[in-house]
Amino acid sequence: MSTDLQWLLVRKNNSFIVKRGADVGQVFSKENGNLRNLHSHKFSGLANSKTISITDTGNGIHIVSRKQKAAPGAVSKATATGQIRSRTGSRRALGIAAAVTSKKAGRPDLRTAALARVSALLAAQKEPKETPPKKSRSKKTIAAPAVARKSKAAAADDDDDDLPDLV
Amino acid sequence: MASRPTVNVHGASGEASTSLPLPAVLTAPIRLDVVSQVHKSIAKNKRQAYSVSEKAGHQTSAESWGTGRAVARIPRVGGSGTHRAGQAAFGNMCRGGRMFAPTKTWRKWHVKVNQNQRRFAVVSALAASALPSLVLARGHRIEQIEEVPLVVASAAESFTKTKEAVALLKSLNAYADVIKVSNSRKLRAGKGKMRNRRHRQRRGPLVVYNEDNGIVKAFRNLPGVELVNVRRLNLLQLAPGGHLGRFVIWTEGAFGLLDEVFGTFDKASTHKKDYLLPTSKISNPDVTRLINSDEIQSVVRPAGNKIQKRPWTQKKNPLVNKAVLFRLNPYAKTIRRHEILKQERLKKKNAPKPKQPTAAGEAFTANLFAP
Repeated sequence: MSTDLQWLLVRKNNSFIVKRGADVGQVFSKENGNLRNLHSHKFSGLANSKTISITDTGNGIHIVSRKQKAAPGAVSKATATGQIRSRTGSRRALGIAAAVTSKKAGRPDLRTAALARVSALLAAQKEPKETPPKKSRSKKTIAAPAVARKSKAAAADDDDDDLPDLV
Repeated sequence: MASRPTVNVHGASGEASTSLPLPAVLTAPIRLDVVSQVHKSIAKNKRQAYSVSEKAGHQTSAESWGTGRAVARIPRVGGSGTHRAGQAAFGNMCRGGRMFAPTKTWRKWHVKVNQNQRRFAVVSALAASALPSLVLARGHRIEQIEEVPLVVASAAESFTKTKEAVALLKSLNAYADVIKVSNSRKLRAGKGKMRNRRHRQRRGPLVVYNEDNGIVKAFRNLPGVELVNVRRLNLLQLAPGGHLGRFVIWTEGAFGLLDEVFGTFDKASTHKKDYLLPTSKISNPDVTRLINSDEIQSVVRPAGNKIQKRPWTQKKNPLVNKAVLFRLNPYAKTIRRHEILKQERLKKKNAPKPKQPTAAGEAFTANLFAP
């Protein structure tokens, strides 16, 4: 059965569709193999014979592509799994993702989407920078800046002491 | 088609042992519209009649007071001594009145659907159950199973213990779908709770067997699992809610019997009189494949150079920009040139002539040269 017809069958309703975004002009879809999580034929993980799914498993990024010569009825047998370990650098990770998408999975049209997804996953793995401590504007710290510089903890204590005075 | 595709038969431990040819039903056309419309009608055939009481709202002797009493002419309950006296009655707008168009038990509860349409819908639903994408789209957890359609060896028909059934589903990696059902069990909203419909849950796999040697009892206690004989396949089970793609687990015997029960595209069914499977309107609906076929590629003109449109450049106004104007209208150049030439000609023609000196008058010359 052609993927065009399959798309017509799953387009109107399926268990993965998310229509909450309809008010911002987007219908989303949450199936595996949908790189941009958009409800469209191009990105659909259901109505395509060649799909690629990129997910984060906690200890690396999994790239699961559908084997190109798999039988149409095959489900788990038709998938080929690859992994990008978490210690792989971003340049290499993106290179692998681009190569798998356009060569192994045979979807060069999804290359940008795959790269975007991998970079988003890599960015999410990074620990966020610590926010610098807020500078106190209380009178005491301005009057005695030396005390504030001594230790941040002490400055915080000062703030607490000041609060009742202000109120 | 080069050869008929085959489907593996999975043994009790999940390994593929033998294989069967794919029955013709599973390649029948899938018509979502037919299935949903037939399902809508068939689902009505289980309804029980209900209606309000024939007497409701009419158990008073109210009569209208007529005009002249400065109240509406609606019938009013007579008498005195109770609150009811003088209140309006009967009308659908009245408190304690009957409803508008009281429901009757002789409503048309059942809907007849033509036999061929019913069969078409069942065949469509079966064909949809053989496509992994549609089964996934219905929400079944089949990511881990090997293939769709899933066929198990006939030994499963003589299972008598649920433990065996669970072991089989686990070895097929199909147990995730049962777990999904188990987790989905919720208390029903509304009065159905007190009408023996206390919980609502998803549907799990449908097990289709050929002969019940205990398989029904083995599987029936698993949440969401339904069993049906291959001769009595039912649209309500194959496409619950009118949604295509039920996850079906076939026993080998049932799968082998499909060609007999539904017939093929050119051999009539033995169970349904003179029934041939519906055929697709076009044999290959794959547009890309059609365009890239030798037949079409041999007659089309070769592709020209790719014209790159530059979408984000500024649009030039041809009325102002000469280069763009000449690209759009090559004759404009000629027009412009002729216009310029004409202007020049006119300029030359209309140019004011220098004053010709005229000879001085005789009197003036005589005076000038007077001795």
